[in-house]
Amino acid sequence: MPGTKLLYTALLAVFVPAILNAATLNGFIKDASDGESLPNTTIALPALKMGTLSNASGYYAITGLPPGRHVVVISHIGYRTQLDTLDLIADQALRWNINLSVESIRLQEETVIIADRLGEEFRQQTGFSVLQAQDMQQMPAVGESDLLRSLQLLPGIQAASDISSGLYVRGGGPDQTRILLDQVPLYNPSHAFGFFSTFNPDAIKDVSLYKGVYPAAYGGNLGALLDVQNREGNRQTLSGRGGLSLISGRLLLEGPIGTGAWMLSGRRTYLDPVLSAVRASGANVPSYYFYDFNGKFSQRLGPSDELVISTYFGQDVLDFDLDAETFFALNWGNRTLTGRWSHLFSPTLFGRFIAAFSTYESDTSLSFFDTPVLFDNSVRDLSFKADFDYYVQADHTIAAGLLLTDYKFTFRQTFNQRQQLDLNQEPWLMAAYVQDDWQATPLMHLRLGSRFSYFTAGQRLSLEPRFSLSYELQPGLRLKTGGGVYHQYLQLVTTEGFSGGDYWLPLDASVKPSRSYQTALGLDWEVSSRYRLSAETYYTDMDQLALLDNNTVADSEETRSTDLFVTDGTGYAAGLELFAERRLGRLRGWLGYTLGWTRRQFPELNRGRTFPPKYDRRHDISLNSSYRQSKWTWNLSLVYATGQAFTPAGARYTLRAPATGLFTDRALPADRNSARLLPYHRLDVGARRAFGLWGSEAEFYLQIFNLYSRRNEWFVQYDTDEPETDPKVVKMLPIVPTFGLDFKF
Amino acid sequence: MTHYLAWIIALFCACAADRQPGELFGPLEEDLVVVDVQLIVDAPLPPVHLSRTLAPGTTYTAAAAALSGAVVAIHQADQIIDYTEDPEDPGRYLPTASVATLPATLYRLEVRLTDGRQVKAQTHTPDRLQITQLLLLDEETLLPRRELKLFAELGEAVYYAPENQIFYQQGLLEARVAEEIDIPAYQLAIFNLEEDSALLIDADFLEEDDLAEFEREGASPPLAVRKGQARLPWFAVAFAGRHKFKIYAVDENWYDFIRTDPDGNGGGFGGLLGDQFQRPTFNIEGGIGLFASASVDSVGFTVLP
Repeated sequence: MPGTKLLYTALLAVFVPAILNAATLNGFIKDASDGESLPNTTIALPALKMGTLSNASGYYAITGLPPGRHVVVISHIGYRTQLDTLDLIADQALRWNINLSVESIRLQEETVIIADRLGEEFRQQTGFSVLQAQDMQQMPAVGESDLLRSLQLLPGIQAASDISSGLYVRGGGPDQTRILLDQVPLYNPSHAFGFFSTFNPDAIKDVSLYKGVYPAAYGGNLGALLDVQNREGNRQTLSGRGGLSLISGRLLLEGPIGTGAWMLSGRRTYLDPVLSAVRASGANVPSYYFYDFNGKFSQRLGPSDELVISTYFGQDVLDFDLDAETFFALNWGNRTLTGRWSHLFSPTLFGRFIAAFSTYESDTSLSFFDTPVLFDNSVRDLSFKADFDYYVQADHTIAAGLLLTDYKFTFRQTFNQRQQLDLNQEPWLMAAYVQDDWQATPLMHLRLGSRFSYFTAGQRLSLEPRFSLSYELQPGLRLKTGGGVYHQYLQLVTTEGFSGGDYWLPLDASVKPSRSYQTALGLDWEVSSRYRLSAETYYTDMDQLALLDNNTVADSEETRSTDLFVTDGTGYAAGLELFAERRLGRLRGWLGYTLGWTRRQFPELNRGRTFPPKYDRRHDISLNSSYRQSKWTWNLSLVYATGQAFTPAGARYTLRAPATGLFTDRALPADRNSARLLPYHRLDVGARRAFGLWGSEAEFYLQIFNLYSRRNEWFVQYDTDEPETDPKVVKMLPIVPTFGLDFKF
Repeated sequence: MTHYLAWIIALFCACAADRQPGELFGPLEEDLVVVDVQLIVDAPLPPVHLSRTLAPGTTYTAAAAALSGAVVAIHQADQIIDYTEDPEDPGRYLPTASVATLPATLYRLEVRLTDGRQVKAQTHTPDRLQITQLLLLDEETLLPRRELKLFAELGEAVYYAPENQIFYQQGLLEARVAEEIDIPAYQLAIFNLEEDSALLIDADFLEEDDLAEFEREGASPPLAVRKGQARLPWFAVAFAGRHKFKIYAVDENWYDFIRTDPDGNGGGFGGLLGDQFQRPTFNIEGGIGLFASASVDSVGFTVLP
C-alpha cells in the first residue's frame, strides 16, 4: 500500500540517523563558579549548521555528527561564550561536560560582555521571555525586588493595582497563568495581599515565561506559563547571599555536599514589632507577618543519574483583634516537596521522573459582634510526572511525558455556627504529551506537539494540539508563529484589586472546562548582539468560561459548580506587542508597548452584552533601564497604561429595601466596565552602590517608587446618602522611598 | 540626563489625577420607570410606587422622581384590581379594592404611563410560612436552653413573657419553620421596636460617628433555611428592648434582586473594590425596580442589656 510505505519512509526519516557511522556529542552544562546546571544553553556547530539547546537539567545531545574535527560554540546569556574544537570518530558517543564562566564586566570606557545570543527557545517560540535574577534585583521596587512585579514591566503583562503582584498576561486573568516552582504548581504566589510574590529573589536561578502558545509539555491553564527554577546550590564552595530591606530580612546559604550541593534560603518580615508598638499606643492595627523557606539538595548518583529534592513553604499570618467579640484572622500559605530523579538511559535518551506534593491552605476566621464566620479552603496536589527527551537526530528531538495528579479540594463556609458550604472533591488529572522539535531546514524550525488530558470530575477528555514555527528570513531576523488549544479545569476565586486568601475550586461535572484557542505571529530581529527588536501579534479565543458568581447564595446543600459560577462565557484577547531591548553595555534595558483588546460575554452578566474586564488596556508602555557607572548602578522604570475599566453610575433611583421596607436611595450601575479610570503612569528610580563589607561583596540601594507621586486611581464608590450623588475615587500608592542592603559572600 | 529627568518630572506633575465628579458618571440612564411593589401573602395588596430615574449628577428628590398619571392594574387570574394615584403622595397608587394576597398565585402588574410607555411584570407568590418554635440554644453545645413563646400563643404579650427575655449575646436564637417551602431562598429581618432604647454595642474601636450609624432594623442576604432552622446573628442586634424577628420566604424576583443588589452586598464571596457594583436583576419589562412577593412569619422577644 502506497500509504503504508510512505508512513514507513517518514518514520525511518525521523528515527534512523541520517548519517551512518555518525557520532553523538552529549553532556551536561554547568556554571563553572558554583556547578549550577544551565538550562537553555545553546550548543552549536556553525559549520554544520547543527545545534541544540540544553534541557531543564542542563543536559544536551547532538546526534548524527559526521566524524572529523568540529568547532563547537557554547553560549548562554550572561556567560562567556566558549569555543572549542573537538575530534569525533565514527560511531563515537562523546560525553562532553561543559563548564561556562560568568563573563566578568570590564569597567572601562564601555562595559563589554562578549556577545551571547539568546537561547534557541527565543528563536523558536513566540511570546517567550526570560528574566535574569540579577536584572530583577536591580529593578526599582516597593520594599524589595520582586519577581512578579518585575514581570509586570514586560509588554503584554499588566498589573491590576500598585499592590497587586497578580499577572494579567495578554488579556487573561491571574488564574489563566500557570505558575510553577521547580516544576510544581504554586496555587497562591503572593504574600501580603499581593504586595510581594512568594519567590525569594536570592533563591531564583532561572525564570521562563511563555506569554502564550506554551508548548505541549505543559497544560492546565488557558493563557500563560511561568516556570521558575530555584538554585540547586553551590557545588564548589560554601557561599551565601542575603539582604535587609525595610520590610524583611533574607539569607541564603549553599554549599557542596557529597557529589552534589545543598541550598537553604529563608525570608521573614519584621514588621510585627513595629505593629506591636503601634498597637501598644492604642491604635487599631493588625498583627501581620509572612515568611518563606526554600531548600534544595542534589546528589549525582553516578555518571547517568542525579537526584534532587526541593521544598518550599511559606505562610502569611494576619490577626486583627478589635475586641473579644470582634476579630479577623487570615492565614494562607503554600507548601511543596519535590523529588526529581534524572536518568540518562543512553546518550540520546534522557529521562526525568518527578514526585511532587503541593498544598495550599487559606483559612479566614472572623467574628463580628459575637457572630463567627469561617472560610476554609485547601488544595492538595500529589503529582507523578515522567518526561523524556529523545535526541533522534541533530535536527529532531522528541519529548514525551506523562502526568498523574491526585487532587483534593475542600471548601467550607460556616456562618453563625452553621455550616453553609462543605465542598469536598477529589478529582484525578491524567495527561500525556508528545512533542517533536524539528529543524526542518537550516532556516526553519518546527515544533509540533499534542497533549491529551483526562479530568475525572465530569469525565472530561481533552485533546490539545500545539505548534510553533520559526523561519529565519535573514541572519538575525526570524518570523515566528504558533498556536494551540488549552483547557482549564480549576477556577480561582479572587478579587481583581489584590490577592490574599484566594480560593481554588475545581469545575465539576455540571460545568464544562474553560477552553482557549491561541495564535501568535511575530518578527524577532537581533539587530546585533547588543540590540533586539520584536513585534508580535496575538489572538486568543475563549469559550466555556466560568466566573465566580459574586451574587451566589453560598448556602445550599450539594452545591455544584453551576451554583457557584456564572458559566457559558466567551471572550477574546487580541493585541500587538512591540519590544526593543538593549542587552549589553553600560546602558541596558528595554522599551515595550502593547496595543490590546480583551472582551468577555456571559449570558447572565451585563444583560448578555459584551464587556471588557477591568484589566483590559488599550495602550501599555513600559520603559526599564539601568546604567552602570563604576560602582554605581542607576535604574529607571516608567510605566504608562490606559486607565482600568470600571462600572459607572448611570442614574439614581429610590426603591424600598425588601424585608425592611425602608426607602433607599441607590445608584444605578450602567453597563459593566463601560467607563475608564484616568490613565495610569508612574516613574520609579533607584540607585545601587557596590562596596566591600568585611571581605564580602555588598550593595546598598535606594529606590523611589512613584517618584512624582502620581495618585493613580484605583476604584470608584458612589455615596447616595445626600441628594447629590457623590462619587469617591480611591487612589493608589503615593511616592514610596525605600532602601536596603544586599550582600554576597 | 538630570536635565531630561527634571523635564519628565515636571511634565507628569502637571498631569493631576483629580477630576470633576461628573466625569465619573457613565452613560446616562435617566427617565427609566422604577416600579416598587412588594406583595406579602395574606396581607392586602400593597400600594404601587412609580418613579423614574434621574441623572446621577442632579439633586435627587422624591417629588422630581415621582411618576404621576399612570394607569395601574394588578391582574390575578380573571380578576383585575385597578389602582388610583394617592392625591396626597404623587407616584403612589392605591388599590381601589381591599383584596388579600393569596399564596401560590400568579399576579401580573401592568402600568401604562401618560407618554404611552408600558411596564409589565409578574410574580408567583410563595406558599404560607409558619414559625413553629423559637429556641434559645447554648452557644457551645447548640442544645436548646429554653423555648420562647410565639405570637400564636400570647399575641403581643410575648415581649413581656419571662421566656422571651434574653440577655444580649447570650445563647443563639433559632426559629424553626413548619416545613420548607419550594422557593429559591429566605430572607431574615430584625426590627427593634423601641425608639430610644440603649445601644448595646460597646466597642472601643468604633468612633462616635460609627456608633451613630447603627440602625434599628436590618435584613440579611438571601439564605437557605436548612432543616427549617434560621439562626439570628448577634451582630444584627444593636439595641436593647423589644425585637421582632421576621423570616421571609421569597419569590424569584425578590431573590434575584436581593442577591444582585450592590447595596445589599449580595450573599456571596468577594465584592470588594467596586467589583460588586453591578446592575441588579430586576425582572421588570419596560423598566427597573421590584415587583415581588413573599410569605412571612415573625417572632418577638426582648433583649436585655
